[in-house]
Amino acid sequence: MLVDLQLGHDSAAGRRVLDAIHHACEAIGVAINDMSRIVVGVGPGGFTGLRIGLATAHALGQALARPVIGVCSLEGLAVGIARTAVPGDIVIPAHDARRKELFAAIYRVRADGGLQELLAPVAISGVALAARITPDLAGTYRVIAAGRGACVEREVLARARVWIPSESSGVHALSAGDLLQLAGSSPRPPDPLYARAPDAELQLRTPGTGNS
Amino acid sequence: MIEGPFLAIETSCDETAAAVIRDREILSSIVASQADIHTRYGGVVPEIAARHHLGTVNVVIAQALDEAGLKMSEMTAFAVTQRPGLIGALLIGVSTAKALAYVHRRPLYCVDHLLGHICASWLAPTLLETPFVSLIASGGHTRLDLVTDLATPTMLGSTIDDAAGEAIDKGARLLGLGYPGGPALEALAAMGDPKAHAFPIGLGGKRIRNFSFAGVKTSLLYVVRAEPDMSDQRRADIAASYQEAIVGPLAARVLDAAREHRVSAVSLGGGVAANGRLRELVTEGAARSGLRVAMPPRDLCTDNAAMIGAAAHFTPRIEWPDYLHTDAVPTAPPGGIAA
Repeated sequence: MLVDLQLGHDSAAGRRVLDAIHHACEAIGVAINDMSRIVVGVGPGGFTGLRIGLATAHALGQALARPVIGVCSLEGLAVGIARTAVPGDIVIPAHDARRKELFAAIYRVRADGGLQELLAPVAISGVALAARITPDLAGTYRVIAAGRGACVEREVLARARVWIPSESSGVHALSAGDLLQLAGSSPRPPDPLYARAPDAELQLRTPGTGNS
Repeated sequence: MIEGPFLAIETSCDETAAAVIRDREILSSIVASQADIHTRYGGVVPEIAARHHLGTVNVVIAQALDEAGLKMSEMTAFAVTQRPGLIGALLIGVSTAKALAYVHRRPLYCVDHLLGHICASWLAPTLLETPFVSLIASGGHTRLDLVTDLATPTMLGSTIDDAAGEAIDKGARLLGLGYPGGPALEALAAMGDPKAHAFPIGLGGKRIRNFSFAGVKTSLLYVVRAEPDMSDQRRADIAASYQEAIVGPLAARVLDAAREHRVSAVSLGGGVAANGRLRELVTEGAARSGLRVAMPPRDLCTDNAAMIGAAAHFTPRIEWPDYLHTDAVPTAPPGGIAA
């Protein structure tokens, strides 16, 4: 049995995650104490929402004495995109990272339907991502991108012959079922995958802008 | 009063802390400071603070339970700093506490950090009876409260610009002492003459309850610029004079307020309350005025979770699962402290 509650994209969505967990449990008549493990998306994504999700997952795991399993949020999105693809196709999950960047990764759909990572999750501009879509990379196969970041950079990516499904398509949203699937096939430590250093760290690395 | 042992969590700035409290007894109190991490940036970086809270909070909680010799399931309630503070940092503690309380079907107490500093004195072996005047001085806050009831302190005054601890940290940095500056400035000041240089006192005069530290900080900047090659002794004298210009008004105003409101005791809280010169000035002045002084031990002056547990006793209880929507709040409410 699977309950998938989507909390929306507003900045406060993450703050409702425990309430959503409570209602998901109620919907199928189970208690949180019945859970055998906690699966959590580790990003990359908005820093605040990411940390709320991870802090909640870690605390649930600690209180329940159950394992917490991390999965890459972009890979989870890619699993959904891959269902619309055929082996050999390239899939690009992309979240909006703001500051004119995307959190994106590139995968090739393997013959068994699994994913081969070609570009690990990274913060990248739409133009730079499009430049990665070379004829050698795709060959005769399709390149499919999805996620809110792909929609934001639709024009730039389309010029690189990337197909972005209609914004009304469900393929742009990460599903709980895909995260659960990945927990079995591609688990990670439940640590945040930020893909972008803090501003203060970037300033320290840039000569002339760091603290003296 | 909260019955039985309960867990308190504090993550409002750069200390990740957890404590197990039973009545007024501290069964354990664990603090993981990020001060060393933020030293290279010259101050607390909110994003970096939040990242480190996430990686530390569960370890600190486990240590607090282990040291108390209790299991999570034995906690009768959970308490957490809800406000004010760095929002990304607060959210780690609030998200964690909510989930822990939710699983164990326990009530949650959402505590005001400033009430925590006031209530740190309540954990002292000798109970401080109300009414008293409280001085909180830290890196983020400087304020005076009349406390007739621990649940609802009345603010008498606060800083109109920098917090006292902020001024100390910035002064220490100007004097090349690094971050955090409090202990280093105090150590250097101990070698100097506090009357060697006349720094301006912000908002001077009787019956003034507010504070201002921007002027003295700017004045130090001018001194350092004018004397780039000052001797070690001159540097110590400047440090001592600068410290005096900050802790002097703190001591004078908390004692004045106690006399004005005819209370018989004062209390200190916040990281600056660990400053030896402030403690000395308040102790001496209180003795002259016949006032009792409650000063928490130094480890309860800086941010910690035991004080949050103390304040939880005077904070409204939120029953399971009514706190699922509860959120962190970065600001203090109008008038100062949430109850």
